[in-house]
Amino acid sequence: MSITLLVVEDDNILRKSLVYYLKSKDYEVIDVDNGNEAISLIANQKFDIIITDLNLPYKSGMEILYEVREIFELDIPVIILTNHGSESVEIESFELGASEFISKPFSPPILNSRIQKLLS
Amino acid sequence: MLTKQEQKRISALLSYQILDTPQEESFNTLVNLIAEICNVPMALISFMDAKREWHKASVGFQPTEVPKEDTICQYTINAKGFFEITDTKKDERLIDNPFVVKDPYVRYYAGTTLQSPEGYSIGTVCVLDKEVRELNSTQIQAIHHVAKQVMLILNLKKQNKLMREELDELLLTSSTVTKRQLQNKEDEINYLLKAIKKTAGVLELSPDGTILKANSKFLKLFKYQKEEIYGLNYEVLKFKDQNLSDFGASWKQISQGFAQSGRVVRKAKDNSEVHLHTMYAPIRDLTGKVVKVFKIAQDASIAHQAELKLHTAKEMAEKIAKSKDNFIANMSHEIRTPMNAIIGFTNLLENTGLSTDQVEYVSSVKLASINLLSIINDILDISKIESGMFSVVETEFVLEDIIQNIKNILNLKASEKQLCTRVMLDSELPYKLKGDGNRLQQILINLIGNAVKFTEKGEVGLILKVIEKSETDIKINFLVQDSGIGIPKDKLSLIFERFTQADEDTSRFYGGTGLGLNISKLLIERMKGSIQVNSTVKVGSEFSVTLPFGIVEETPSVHDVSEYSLINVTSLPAGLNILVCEDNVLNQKLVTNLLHDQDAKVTVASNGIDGLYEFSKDSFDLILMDIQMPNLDGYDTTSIIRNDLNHSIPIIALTAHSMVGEKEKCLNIGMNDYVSKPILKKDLFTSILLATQKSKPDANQERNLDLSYLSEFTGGNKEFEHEMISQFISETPKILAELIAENQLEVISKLAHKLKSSFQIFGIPTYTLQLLEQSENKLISTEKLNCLKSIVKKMLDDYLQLIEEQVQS
Repeated sequence: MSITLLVVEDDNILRKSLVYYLKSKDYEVIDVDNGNEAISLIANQKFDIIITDLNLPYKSGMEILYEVREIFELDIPVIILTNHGSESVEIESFELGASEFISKPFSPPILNSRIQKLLS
Repeated sequence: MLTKQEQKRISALLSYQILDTPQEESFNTLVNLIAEICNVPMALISFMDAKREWHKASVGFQPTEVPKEDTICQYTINAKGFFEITDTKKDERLIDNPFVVKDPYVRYYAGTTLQSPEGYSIGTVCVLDKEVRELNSTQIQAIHHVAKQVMLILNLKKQNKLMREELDELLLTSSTVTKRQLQNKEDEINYLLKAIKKTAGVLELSPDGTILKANSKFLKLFKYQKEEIYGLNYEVLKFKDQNLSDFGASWKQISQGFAQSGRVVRKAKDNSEVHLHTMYAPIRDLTGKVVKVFKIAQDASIAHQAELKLHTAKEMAEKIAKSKDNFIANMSHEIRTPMNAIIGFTNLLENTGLSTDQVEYVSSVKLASINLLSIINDILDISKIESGMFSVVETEFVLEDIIQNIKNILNLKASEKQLCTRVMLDSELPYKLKGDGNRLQQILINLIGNAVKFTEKGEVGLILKVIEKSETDIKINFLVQDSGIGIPKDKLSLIFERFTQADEDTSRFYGGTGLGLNISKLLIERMKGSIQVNSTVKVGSEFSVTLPFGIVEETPSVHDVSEYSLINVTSLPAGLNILVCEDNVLNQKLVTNLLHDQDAKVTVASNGIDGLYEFSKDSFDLILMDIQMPNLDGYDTTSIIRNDLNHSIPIIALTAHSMVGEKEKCLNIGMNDYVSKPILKKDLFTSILLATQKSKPDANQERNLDLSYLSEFTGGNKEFEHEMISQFISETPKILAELIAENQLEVISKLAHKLKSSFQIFGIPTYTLQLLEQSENKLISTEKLNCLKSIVKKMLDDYLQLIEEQVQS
């Protein structure tokens, strides 16, 4: 059974590279570059894991996390990827229910191992 | 006129409600039975009211009723039991009876009464014959049985009826009760709804979001008239950027019957903001389908205002706290800087060929200024304590360095008074520790200083002993002993308090602010240690301090000792080209003079930006970099030079702070060495020599395009990499151009953030972008902004060139 990931990242190059990498690891990947579309997709489709940046147009990664946890009430794992890796941001995201917090630049293989861990 | 008795009999009869009822099988069967058993052609089950005998069931007898006076049964009724007429012709009473003289010519009669439970005869069961005859006992018995049976049936019926009536009444009462309860509940709900509508805005929506009804409070909140809003979709109350899909998602929940609540911002008719505390209550019908949605909204504008105020207050409090921090740090800097200048120039003055008198005078000035500096330090420390800024940090420091410093001070001070000194170190002491080395040094200097101060003859000693040691932690005892004047027993507890010395006289004689021990004690406690004192007047004192530390390195892993530390360095090779970044004019002069004396070419910049500018114009041998500078400080300037400009020119830090941990910070950022103010010629020259010897001539390293990070994503797929490269080449210059043209810090920060991700993929250093990203929250000069922008532009241009070269190859 295939695993479907949602990647939310507004930097084109990073997003495309990440999607390429994840597809090469045999995941089904859907990608968007803003928070609104991300929410639309989540409302209508089932994902196994959501990978999102924090800084996004329209809706931030934190808002996405909040809506996924509080409004949709989904347990689906959410991995936060971000450049703003401060301690307080990390704590806040875990309090909101993030499953993993990864600072950029990150290592793709390590991200993959985190994904695998969350899926098991 | 009926007798009372008769009335009662009749009412008993009536209570059975049997008169004039249709024929029933049960009675017919019985009457047939008795006719059979008695072998008679006629039998009756009849009931006698006031005027007539009415037949419920009959055999062989036509009329259903007979007037009372014409009946035979009337006599049976009166007899109240079994009554027999063997020959009607012989009975006077029946001479004129129509049923005797005419058809059916009754000759024989036998019957018994039907008795009600109260004992009234309400009717009869009788048999009639046309011949004279007799009944045997069995037949007579049968008549009794049948009568009994009839009464049984009647009584049962009566009971049934009564029970049914009772039941009906019960049902009626209970249904009345239920109705009343229902009514109460309805009333309750109505009151509730009324109360809600009175105190909150209530909106009724259809499941698809169409506005059906709104109460006046709601309309008032949103500044609408009723008519305008009915029939419109709920979207009209939202701001444009509140995307529909957001509404759609939670609406999905609502339309599935899940209540939602929370704080929202909505749009009023005049496009102003309405802050609400809102609750959605979906109403379901019996099948579970949502038929209506109630939205209950409380005005949260006060809460919103409070939040804004809180936010503002918080920001203000943070600003104040920060400016307080800054104030103290600045004051600290402001005060120490001229002090350093005084001491520094006094030192220089000492070496300028003075007369004996002048040497004495200069020496006094120097002593006084060193004292003043120490007093100022104490005051600054106290002011930090007062403002709660009393912090103890955790850094890594080399214990040896501190001991060496203490030794120097001890020996210097002791030699002035011709005292002996002794320093003994436990062999188990580790090389590198984790803790606040700076504070430790401060404490020891205080104790040693006191020991020397209060001792006229004899010895001052420092002994370090390991009390407890594990693999990661250690407790060290520092013992400072002196053979001084001692402290009276009753004053022992007072010495740690602020502004007291053991004796008023001692304070006048020995001088000092009396702050040292108080600070030391607070520091020790903050560092989770302890201090004790033992003393005997005229013999001496012992101060024992125990402190915990973490162990970083047992033995030095790298040979830290420099080859030059044993030689007294007094000169530099001629012709060095040195860039000095220092904001203080006095310090600039100081350093420049020292260097000019050694035939060095000196360029001075008063802040990081000017420094970068000068740096780009000429090729230097090394940079002397002050840490505290306006606009761009020493750390940021060094980072830009090291990371973004990729230059390995030697950089030596100059700083007024004497914090031990700061050395590590400077080295981590990429500086080569560290010289603390007041700048001693020997220290400066040693560092310069070391730095310039170790560096290679071509300091500018060859830049290479590093695609290793990109290939972690692509797995080496050249085609995809080329695609990403093309995208980078086409997109990034545009974003950069936007950034350069932009003046709003918020937008610049966002653009810098955007560029950062792309830069990272291609291995381009992002330190300058980080600074630009963080500029959002700081006051930043146009100068600094432009400098940073131009650095980013240059870097990107260089890298784009590299990329294009790569692509062509």
